[in-house]
Amino acid sequence: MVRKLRLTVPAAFGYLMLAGFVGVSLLPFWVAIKTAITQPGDVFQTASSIAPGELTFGNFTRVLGLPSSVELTSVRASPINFALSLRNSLIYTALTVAGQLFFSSLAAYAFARLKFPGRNLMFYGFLASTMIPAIVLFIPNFILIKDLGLINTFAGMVAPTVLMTPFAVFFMRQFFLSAPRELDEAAKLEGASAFQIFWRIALPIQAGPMATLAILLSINSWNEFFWPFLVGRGEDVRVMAVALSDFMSQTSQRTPDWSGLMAALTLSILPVIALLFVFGRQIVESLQSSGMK
Amino acid sequence: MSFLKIENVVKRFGALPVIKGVSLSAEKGEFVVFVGPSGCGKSTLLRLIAGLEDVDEGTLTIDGEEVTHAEPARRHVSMVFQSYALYPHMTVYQNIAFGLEIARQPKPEIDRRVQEAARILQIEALLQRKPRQLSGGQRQRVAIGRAIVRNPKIFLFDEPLSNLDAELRAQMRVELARLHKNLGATIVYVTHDQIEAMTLADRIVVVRAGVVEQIGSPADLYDRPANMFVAGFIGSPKMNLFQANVTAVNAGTITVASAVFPTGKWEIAGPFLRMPEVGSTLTLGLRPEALTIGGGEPIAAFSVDLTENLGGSTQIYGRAKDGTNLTVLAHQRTELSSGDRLEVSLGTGLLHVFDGDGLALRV
Ligand SMILES: Nc1ncnc2c1ncn2[C@@H]1O[C@H](COP(=O)(O)OP(=O)(O)O)[C@@H](O)[C@H]1O
Ligand SMILES: [Mg+2]
Repeated sequence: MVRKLRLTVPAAFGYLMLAGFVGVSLLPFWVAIKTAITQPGDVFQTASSIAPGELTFGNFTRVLGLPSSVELTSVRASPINFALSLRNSLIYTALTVAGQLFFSSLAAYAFARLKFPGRNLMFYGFLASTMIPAIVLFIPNFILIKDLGLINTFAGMVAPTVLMTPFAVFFMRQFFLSAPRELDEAAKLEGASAFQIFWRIALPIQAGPMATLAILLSINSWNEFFWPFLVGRGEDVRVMAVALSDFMSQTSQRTPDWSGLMAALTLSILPVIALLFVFGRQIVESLQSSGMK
Repeated sequence: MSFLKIENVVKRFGALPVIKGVSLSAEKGEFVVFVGPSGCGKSTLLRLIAGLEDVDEGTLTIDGEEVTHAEPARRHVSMVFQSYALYPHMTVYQNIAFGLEIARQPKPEIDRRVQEAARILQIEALLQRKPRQLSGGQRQRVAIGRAIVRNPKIFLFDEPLSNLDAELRAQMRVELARLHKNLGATIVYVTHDQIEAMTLADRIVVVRAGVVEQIGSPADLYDRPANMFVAGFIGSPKMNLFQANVTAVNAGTITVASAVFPTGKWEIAGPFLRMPEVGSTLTLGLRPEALTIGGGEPIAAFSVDLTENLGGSTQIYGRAKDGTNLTVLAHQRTELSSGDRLEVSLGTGLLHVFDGDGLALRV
């Protein structure tokens, strides 16, 4: 008997649903890309169509501030300094990710391995704090940062997340818990201090999960908008996500520069997409083994 | 004073006592083996000595210093874990050197000692490998290397051979014995395997359910088990145990009755620790390897159920008139078939006698 790929009605329906979901999630990306490769003047004529208008890469060169696009710069100048925003985004992301990785894994290790009174109570209290909506925290945090004089500084921008986030702590704690306890004990017998055990044994064997966490946090930080928007709007510290919003508010007479915005947006998510392509599989595996998703 | 002294140690997990008042001691250079069934508390006892668990009651002394609640590192003990617990991200060299580095030894000194340990254990060629690139036996050696390089006061081994196959286990057993002799190390070794205990130990501590049942040399435990548990646990194949009634008590001898004896009764000579009462029930023990086919006066008669030919010797399983199972390890090849009747004598072997509480009645 020849085995055929059996496409039963429920299976076909399932695939159709999946295809639908994929289509719905990819549609906004396509719209962004389509707009980015359309002449600024044609955006509204082609808005209702799925296909782009007359193709151009002028929007990309324009937002990058490249000189070759003379005729387009006369149409519209880019309001942002792409290179500076990129630098700021990199600094912001590097600081928040490095800080969270280090401090969260310290906290996670303590919750997983050290014995101290009230440990579990503290941990669950810590987890419960994730239930407080971020929006509630913005105002008190903003006032604090303002009073500290840290508006428009990287210090103020990274302050709420650089020390640790519940997600990162919970994520790493799961991995520390599942590591063999004998490794810690062997090091303890050899005279290692709690920090030496953490730094030289417990942490290095979690290199894989740490890398995954680093990528997840990077994507998060890269896309962070509201908090940097509140405290970091100065040109020198403005991250990409905040800078992009300038496309929408540049003049009072003219409509926002949609094609410029979409071109810059497309360029700004390229690093994230690259990360996902390279490490996507590892991220999924780590998330599954941490039991979080 | 003993090198290692444990006095009345109690350990509870929650409300549950796991070590119930254990006292024992080990001399410098002695090889002490804790043996007992799974879950009896051997590992816990070892971890208490190491300081990985905290003692609830009692005291612990190492080399004249009380260390009951001392930090593990201050006790100067090395432990070889059942899982080996090698640091997976470090090379063999780094694994062995780690403790010395923590102790801030100078680099040349570390190198000298790592090379020395590697030479003793014949793992010089493996020093740059990672643990996952090693076989079970090689990992075992690295774990031992990590222990000896620190020159500890006491070595603690927790079932170190249980993850190896039978052949490697036998080989490592010999090497451990040699290592002990060469290093003159004080070793506390945990196993559930009584053969390991018998072959390695200077002294065996038999543990059951958190209580020490008997402490003694392998020969002591074999010849004079203090109770039925030790009698059944030490020795392979297991000692034959069967019940007998006391029919007469005379000066220094007692007479017992059982269907196992060819004549139905047997006279046992003392000296006894306590004299049993007439009419009480005793448990008697005969080691399978102490029984001889033919020879002197037969002590047991039975019909053969099954024989296993082991090459040079034969293991015979039989059943006495009243259904009591008996095992005989004959030191020759025998041609027997099921249903054959057989009589065996004790020769110079020992008849073990236990009272109703399972305690030995003879010294
Ligand atoms: N950390 C622990 N918490 C609770 N119970 C434990 C713990 N460690 C061991 N036990 C219990 O103590 C008993 C003895 O364990 P263990 O010392 O590991 O036995 P063994 O090594 O002789 O097999 C077992 O019943 C085990 O379940
Ligand atoms: Mg154990």
